[in-house]
Amino acid sequence: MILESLSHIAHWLPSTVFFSDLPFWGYFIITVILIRSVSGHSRVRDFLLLAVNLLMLMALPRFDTTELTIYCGLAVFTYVVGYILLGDFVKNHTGRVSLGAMGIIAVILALAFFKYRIVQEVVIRDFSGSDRGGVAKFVFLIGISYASFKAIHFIIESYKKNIQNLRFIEFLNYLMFFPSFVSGPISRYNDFYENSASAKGSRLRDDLLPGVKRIFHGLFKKFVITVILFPHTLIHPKTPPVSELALWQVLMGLYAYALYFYFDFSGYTDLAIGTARLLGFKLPENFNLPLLKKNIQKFWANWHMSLTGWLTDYVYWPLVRRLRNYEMLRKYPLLISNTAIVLTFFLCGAWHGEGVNFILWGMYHGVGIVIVNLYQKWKRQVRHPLALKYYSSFLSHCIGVALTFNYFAIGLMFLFDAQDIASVFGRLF
Amino acid sequence: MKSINQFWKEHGGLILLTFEIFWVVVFLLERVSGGGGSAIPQFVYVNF
Repeated sequence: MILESLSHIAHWLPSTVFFSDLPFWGYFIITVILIRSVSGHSRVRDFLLLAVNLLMLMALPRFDTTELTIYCGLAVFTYVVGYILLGDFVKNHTGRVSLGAMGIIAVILALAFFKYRIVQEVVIRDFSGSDRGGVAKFVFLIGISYASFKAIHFIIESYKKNIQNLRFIEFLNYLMFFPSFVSGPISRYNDFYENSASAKGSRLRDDLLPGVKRIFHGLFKKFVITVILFPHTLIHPKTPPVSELALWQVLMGLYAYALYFYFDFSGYTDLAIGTARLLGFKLPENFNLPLLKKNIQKFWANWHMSLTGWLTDYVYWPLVRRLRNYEMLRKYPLLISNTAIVLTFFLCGAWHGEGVNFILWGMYHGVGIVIVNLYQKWKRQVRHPLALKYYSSFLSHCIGVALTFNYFAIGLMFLFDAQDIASVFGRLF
Repeated sequence: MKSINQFWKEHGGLILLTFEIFWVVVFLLERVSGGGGSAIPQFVYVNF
C-alpha cells in the first residue's frame, strides 16, 4: 500500500541518475530543506528521511516498485535475523551460528542472483524448465552490492552482540540511505546510528560550507577532470581496438584509464559525502590519495577504504583465524597472512564482475601484496648503511609511487576482453 | 616563501573552490549549449 503510493508519486517525478542529472539536484535541495526543517523532531525526521530515501530510489532509472519491494524484503529479513540474534531468542551456540550463517548465505544468494547474469539465467532456466540458455531478461538490481555488504555486516555484528540501539526505521534508513546507496561508502550501523542521533541537533550553517565544498570537489572531478581524461582512455567508444594500437599507445590509454577510474570514483565519493553532510550525516572516507602511495599494499589501504575495511574485517581476519587452527600452519604466520590475502582478493575480484578476468584481476593484486610482504621481510634483514639511506630517501618513495601506479594501471588490462589481454601481454613478454 | 605558505594556508581553500566552481560552470555551459565538449560518461562504479 505504502509502496504503491510511493510508486504513484515517483511516476509523477522525472527519473534521475544520482549526482549527474539536473533533476537530482532539484530533489536534493528540497530534501535538505525538508529534513533540516524537522531536525528537532526526532521521529518525524526519521520517517521523513525514510520517505525521501524510498522516493529517491524510485526516481532512479530501472528502479520500480518491484526493485523497492525486493529491497524492503531484504531489509526486513536482515532486521529479523539481527533482532533474533541480539535478543537472545536462540540460546544455544549451534542455533545462533546456524541462524547467522543462514542469514549470510541468503544475502549472498540474493547478491549473486541480482548481480551475475549467469546465476540468474541458470536459476530461471531451472525453475521454468526451459532448456534454452539466455532466455531470461537480466534484472540487475542497482545498489545490491552495497546493500548486501551492509546486511552481512549487520548480521555478523548482531551475532557478536555489537549492535547498539537497534531500531527498525533507523535500520531501513541505514540500508537505503540514498547518498551512499548506489556506490557507497559502506558505513557501519553503529556509526550511522550515532551520526543520525547527532544530526538531529545539528545546524545547517555548521555543515553548509564543508558539504558544499565537498560537492564542488566531486563535481570538478566528475564534470571536468574525467571529461578531459575520458577520450584518452581505452574504454572510449572512439578509441581503436587494443590490437590495432602500438604498445606505447596502450600504455598511455591505461594510464589515462587509471586516472579516470580514480577521479570518477573518488568524485562520486566526494558527492556522496558532501550531500550526506548537508543532511547532517558524516559518511566514512573512501580515498586517501591512493595513487601517491609507495607500494600496492599501501595503495589498497587507501583505495576504496570502506570496502577494504569490510573485506579485512569479514573475510581476511576470519580466514586468518581459521588457518591458525591448523597446527602445521601455525609456525608460518607470513604464509597464513599471504594465503588469506590471496583468497580475500580472489573474492574481491569475483565481486567486481562475473568472468575469469575479474578473478584474475583480484589475484593479480593479491599476489602483488604478497610480493610486497616478502620484499619487506627481506628488507628488514638489510643492514648496509647505503641501502638503509636509500630506503628512507625521497627517490625511493618516487620510484615506489611510479611502480605502484604502473602496477595498478597495467592491472586494469584484466578488465578488458580476453583477446585484448592476450594481444597486449603477447607483445609485452 | 614563508609568506606564500601563509597566504595559501589562509586563502588556498577559497582559491581552489573558486577555481573548481569556475571550471564546473564552464564545462556545464558548454554541455548545455551543445558545444563540442565530450559527453559525461556514467559513473564507473554504478554497475558494481
